[in-house]
Amino acid sequence: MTEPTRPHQPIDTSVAHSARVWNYWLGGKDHYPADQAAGDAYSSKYPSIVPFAKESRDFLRRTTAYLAKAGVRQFIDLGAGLPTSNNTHEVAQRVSPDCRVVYIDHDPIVLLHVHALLTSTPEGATNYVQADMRDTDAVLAGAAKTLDMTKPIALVINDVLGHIENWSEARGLVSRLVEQLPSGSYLSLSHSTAADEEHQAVQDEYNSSGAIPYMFREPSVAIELFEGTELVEPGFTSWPRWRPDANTGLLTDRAGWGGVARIS
Amino acid sequence: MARERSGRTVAHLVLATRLKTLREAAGMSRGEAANALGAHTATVRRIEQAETSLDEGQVHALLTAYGAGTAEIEAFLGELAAANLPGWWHPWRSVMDPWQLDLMSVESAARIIRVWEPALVPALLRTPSYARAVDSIRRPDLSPADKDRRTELLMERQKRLRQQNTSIWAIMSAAALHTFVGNEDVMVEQRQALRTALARPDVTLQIHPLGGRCHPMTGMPTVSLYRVDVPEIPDHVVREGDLHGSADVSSSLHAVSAYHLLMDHTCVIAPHPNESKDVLT
Repeated sequence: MTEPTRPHQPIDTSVAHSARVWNYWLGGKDHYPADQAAGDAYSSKYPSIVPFAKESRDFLRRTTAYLAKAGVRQFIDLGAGLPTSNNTHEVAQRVSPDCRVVYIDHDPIVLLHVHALLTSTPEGATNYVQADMRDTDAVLAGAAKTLDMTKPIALVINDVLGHIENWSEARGLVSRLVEQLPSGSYLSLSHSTAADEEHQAVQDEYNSSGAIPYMFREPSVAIELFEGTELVEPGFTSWPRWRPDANTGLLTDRAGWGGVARIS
Repeated sequence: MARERSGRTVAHLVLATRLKTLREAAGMSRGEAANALGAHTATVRRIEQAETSLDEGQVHALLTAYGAGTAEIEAFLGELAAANLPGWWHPWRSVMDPWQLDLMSVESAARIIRVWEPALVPALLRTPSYARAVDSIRRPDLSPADKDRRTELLMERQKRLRQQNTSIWAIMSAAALHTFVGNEDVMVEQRQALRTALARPDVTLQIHPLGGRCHPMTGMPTVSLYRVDVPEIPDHVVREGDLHGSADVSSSLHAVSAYHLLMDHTCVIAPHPNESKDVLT
């Protein structure tokens, strides 16, 4: 009798998981009953969450396309979430097929979906690393298997730092990663913020439901994450105001902010 | 006039669902729609669930009742003409199982097919001789000619899935590698085919070892999950395992979601796809 080849990693699908709740809001089909229940409970009290989720996703699409057009060919997507439409490598490889993208997530279900579904162009590469984003050494070591760590890299952190409750810890992990990226790299980052008191109240309720909580942060606080980098135009701004294109609708100025910055 | 049955096409399914959405948007019940059509409520239900072919006259009457404009009606009828063409599998319909007839539409538009296969190599990864050898044992009810036709259909399905770039994510028990199908040559060729499949970007294969950990699908017969990237079409789950040639097909959210969950847990427990190569060499 052979022992199982690796330890079984426990996964809990009985409570909502943000990647799957977002998948539900975005009209995807990769979610379980607990996620749907949590998503419905949220959106019934705060319907704007659905357009907010779309705005966040659209921000990721526009920033990724911008970076690829600016010549970046390597990406680390931290907290990738479940595959949906316009995944980071698809957007980047549409601009340039030789783009290489490493997805990082801690959820083994997410990573198996990424492995099975996100196939790269033959010229480029996609890979994925199972790591907790707090473990920046594991993140960088994992990325180094696919990327040339001496050439510019775009570090994509789209709306996941709210899962880190301790602000100095969140700041610390970004600065540790940024410090180790070569000159000419970029940080592409967004963070949700409370649109109004009602939004905050519904989020508080979600956070106390047993799901992994997400902390909103004010733009004036979140901008600290860009310390030591140079924000490109138009700076750190609400999602729809960051280089909008024909597909961007302006729904809100408040629900989430993001920016792209150069690392020198 | 009902067309010759070759199963619904995905285009048909989408249009049927759109008719339901338009009725609901118009604030009409099925009964009211049936009155407008001069038909029974059950007729409207069958139309909306794609259980019957879509008749141009009926569709026109329904769209008019729902307040659709001339341009909208013309566009819809244009799509209907295409949807009513028989599917590519039409020539094989006599050797297809009834559930397969219904599912081929979904398969022909699938972006991903996930499979759990407990004892044999999953059908979509079988070689012709392996597939024929399985049928020759498992389907004593069929004539040799019919078995040949079924193998031919399976190969055509595999070819088309590849052309349409459908991802196949299969998890099978290593029992399949120990179950002797056909003869030694058949087994050698099948193992080689699995090794070749591993290199394909559209194939993900996880092989659960003998002596491996119990997982949520342990003891379950073959289960497939079909995903189409069209909002109107839900995922479908197919459960085989009763009499050969029969299967339960469901697209109810409850069933799909429950199997999706079990499949995900099983995939996490099974060895990673990257380990399959070691098992096959």
